[in-house]
Amino acid sequence: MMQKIKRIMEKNFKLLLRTKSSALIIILGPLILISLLGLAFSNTQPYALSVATYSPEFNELSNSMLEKLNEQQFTVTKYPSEEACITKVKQAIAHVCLIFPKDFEISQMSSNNITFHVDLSKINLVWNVLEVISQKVASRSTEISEDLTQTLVKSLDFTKGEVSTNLPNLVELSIKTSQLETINADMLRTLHGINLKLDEEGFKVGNLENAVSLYNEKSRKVVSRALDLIDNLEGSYGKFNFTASQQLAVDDVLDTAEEDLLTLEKDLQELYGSGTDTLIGGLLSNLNTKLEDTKAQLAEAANSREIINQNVQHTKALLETNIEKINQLQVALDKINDNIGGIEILDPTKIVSPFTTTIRPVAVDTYFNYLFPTLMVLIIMITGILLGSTLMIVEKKSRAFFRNAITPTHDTTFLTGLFLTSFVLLLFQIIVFLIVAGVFFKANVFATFAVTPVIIFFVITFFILTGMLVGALFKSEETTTLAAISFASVFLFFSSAILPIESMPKILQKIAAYNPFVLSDNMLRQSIIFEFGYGQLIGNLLLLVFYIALFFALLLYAQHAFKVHTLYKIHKQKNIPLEIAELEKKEYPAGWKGSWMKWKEKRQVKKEILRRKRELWLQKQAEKKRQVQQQPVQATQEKSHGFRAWVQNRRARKLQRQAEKQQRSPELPAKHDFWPFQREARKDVQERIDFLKKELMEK
Amino acid sequence: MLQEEKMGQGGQGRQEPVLKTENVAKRFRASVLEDVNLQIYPGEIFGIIGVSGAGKTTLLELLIGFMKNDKGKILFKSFEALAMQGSSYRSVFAEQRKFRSLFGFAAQVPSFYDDLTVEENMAYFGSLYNLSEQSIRENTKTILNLVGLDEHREALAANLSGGMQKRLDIACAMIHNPKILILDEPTADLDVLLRKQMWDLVRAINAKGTTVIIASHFLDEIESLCDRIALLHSKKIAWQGSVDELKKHYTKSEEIHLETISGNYEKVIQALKAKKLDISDMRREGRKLVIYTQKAELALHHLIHILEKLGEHILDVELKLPSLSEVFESITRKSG
Repeated sequence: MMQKIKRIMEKNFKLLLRTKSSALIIILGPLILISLLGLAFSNTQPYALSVATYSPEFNELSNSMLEKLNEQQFTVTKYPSEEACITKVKQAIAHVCLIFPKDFEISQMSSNNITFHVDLSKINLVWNVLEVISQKVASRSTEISEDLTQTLVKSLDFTKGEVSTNLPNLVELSIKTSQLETINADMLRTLHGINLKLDEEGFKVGNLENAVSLYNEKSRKVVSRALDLIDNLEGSYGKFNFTASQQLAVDDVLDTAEEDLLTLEKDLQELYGSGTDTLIGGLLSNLNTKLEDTKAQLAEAANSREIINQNVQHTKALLETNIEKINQLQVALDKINDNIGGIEILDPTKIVSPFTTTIRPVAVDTYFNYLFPTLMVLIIMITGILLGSTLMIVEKKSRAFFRNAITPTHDTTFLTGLFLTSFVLLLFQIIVFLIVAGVFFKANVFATFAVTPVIIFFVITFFILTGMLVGALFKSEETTTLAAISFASVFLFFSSAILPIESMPKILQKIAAYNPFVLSDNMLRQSIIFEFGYGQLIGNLLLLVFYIALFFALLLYAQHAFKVHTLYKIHKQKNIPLEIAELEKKEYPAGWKGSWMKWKEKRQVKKEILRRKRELWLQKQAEKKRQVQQQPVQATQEKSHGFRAWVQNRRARKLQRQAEKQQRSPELPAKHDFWPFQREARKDVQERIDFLKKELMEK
Repeated sequence: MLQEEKMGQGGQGRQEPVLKTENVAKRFRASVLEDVNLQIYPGEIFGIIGVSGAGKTTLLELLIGFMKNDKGKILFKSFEALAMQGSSYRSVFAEQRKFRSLFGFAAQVPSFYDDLTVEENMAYFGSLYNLSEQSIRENTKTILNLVGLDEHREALAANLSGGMQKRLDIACAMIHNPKILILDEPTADLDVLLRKQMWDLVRAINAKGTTVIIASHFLDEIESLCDRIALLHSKKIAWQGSVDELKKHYTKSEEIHLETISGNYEKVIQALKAKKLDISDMRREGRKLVIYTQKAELALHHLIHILEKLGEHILDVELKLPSLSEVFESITRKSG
């Protein structure tokens, strides 16, 4: 079996290398590829971006942003309108368009929204562009933030100072307010203590009036009695044995007394008379009036007191509130003081950016090294699938396929030979790739020499088997190539090569995790860049081995199932006749004359071939006609009239005419192209005739 | 070599067939073959004839076990087993690997690698038959001499002419010294000269003891080469046997075609009629006189005598058994 496989591989290599273009591609292809990739990616420069920008009015702030971008070797171009700016992005002249608003400044009233216009269709570039530009804008924004924060910190310091300075005042205010409250409370108490009740009863004005009235009455009675007495006396002189002189004296006294009593009565009348014109009455009336006034005043005073009370209460409440507020203020200021005092970080830089990030690659430093494993898997995949499928379909389409199929050599041997051929070719390319990458572009390919080659072996095996399976399933080169590209595309799209797997829906992420391309990429990255060992890669490796076994089984089945079918489809197709194939080899003069000659000869040959085929066909038709003629009556009875009968009869007449024509032209071969060989038969007969003639002569 | 002498080599009753079929049927979308019973004996040239599309290639591919028959059996016995009494037949499909070493197949479309040389093709296919390097070298030398490609051993197969490619194809089929060589339409698309060369080659191969099975729709070559033939018509074997048996079975008369310088045959006809020979019909066909008789030798004898008497000069005299094509037509007409 090994001998057979070796022969098959030799045959495949000979077939491949005898085509100079194939040989060149196989040898030079990887060299060119690795050179281009290395030159393209072996650098650490950031992306060179072109930035378009527009603002209705560029100011210091927006210009400072743009200066920041210019520092990083970005090309910044200002455009006269927003539309022009956006159009540049659409035309791929600029990578991003920045639109600054009109009132772009740091103030309370301004809008500071910078709009980024990007082309999301540039999937691989757009997020990097956004990240880079955002970084730069954020950097400038950070600087501004630091300035603003510095201002804030200063304000805070000042506030703290003022608070500290004025806190004692507040305390004093609090104390005084408390004192005010106390005074207020005293006032309130005092106010409450003022007795504004008028004890009218105490004045006993009524009693006084009664008493005055009583005294007035009594006085009048007394006076009256006295007068009465006087009168009585006067009248009673006789009783007394007064002397004239005595009587006169007594009369004088009694007159004087009467006058006095009358004056008293008059005085008493003036004093105690009702109404307000008497003294006592006036006084009483005045007293009543004053009492009323006083009562009114006291009532008014009570009202005022009430009002004052209310105001004092209100003042008290206000003072209480003030005290509370002052206390709260005090507490707040204490807190503010404490908080401000408690702020440990006062550095604006640290406030704006409390923590910084440093991105360190876990391994190497150039884009090439990052991309190297993925590039290698990509090359293996595309080359493996295309090579496997192409070799497979070329073998199937070759003329020798049938002969291979009828030899006592199992399909597995052919498949193994084909696989090993593809494997050696691809391995050669990968070795060239690795050597050039390692030597010229310092790719870290030799770090894990115990692991990486094994992974590369399995990866190559898988993709070659995939290509061979595609070649086994399809029947033409075009379909096979399309199918191979489709397979490779599916592997590629469901990987992180174009879009991150993490951006896909969950279910697709799970499926993509089992994508052989993803498995291979992960394993190679981990082994080359992170120097993982077998222990960490065993899971993915076993899964890949499983895929290999599965695809090999499918390949065997497909090869077996489609072999006969394929042969029938391929080899039963119309083949180019040998005459035309020979015409293709014939040399013709160069130019249109040669082409015309070639066309003419081919036409003649094709005519001849057609003529032969026509003869065979005529033979068949004649046979059919004879069959029809054998049952003429039935045929006639069945189809004696009608369109079908007319067609059939017409066909029969035509065939008859053709047959007769053939008979009339003896120069054409009667039926087949064998009439020259009748000469052989004639020779034999001629010998017999000669023999008979000889016999006759002898007789 | 005349046909009659060849008849002794083939035919039933010599020995057991090396390859036989029993009620074989094959169907693709429609039935292609039904109830095919064949016996092919060692050392003979066996022809399979039929119109295009009759199923000849299908039958051949069934014989080699390339496809599985739907019904019946295809059995073979190795040449060693043939020599042993009591040995049993084996199924071709079941023991494909063993059987494939016994036969070589040259399809209608030559099957080799265009971008390999003649020698490289031979070496490659020889290796697939588990031959040693020594055997491959020896066989290549012998076979290339036999097929006449020795001078072109270093030439790329694509650069060979049509006839040479056919010969290379046969050479590749014979690299492992098969006991049975199967040729499918070996002379299709060849010109007259090349066809003759091919026939000579086939005879030479057969002369070395190789059983040859030829499928062709060229009846003259079958008639010329084959010891026994099978006629495939309407999915069945309409006839199997030697060519002469076939002709005798299906025809009763022979034809004598006469052409004289004068072209005047009235007197000849009268004279022949007067002889009251067993002549069924005489008719003029162009410049020739065709005489249909069941006793052609006797009639020919008298005819020559009459012509001499009449002083007619013979341009051409031909004794024709009905051609195989005529017999074929007859059979196919009867089989319907």
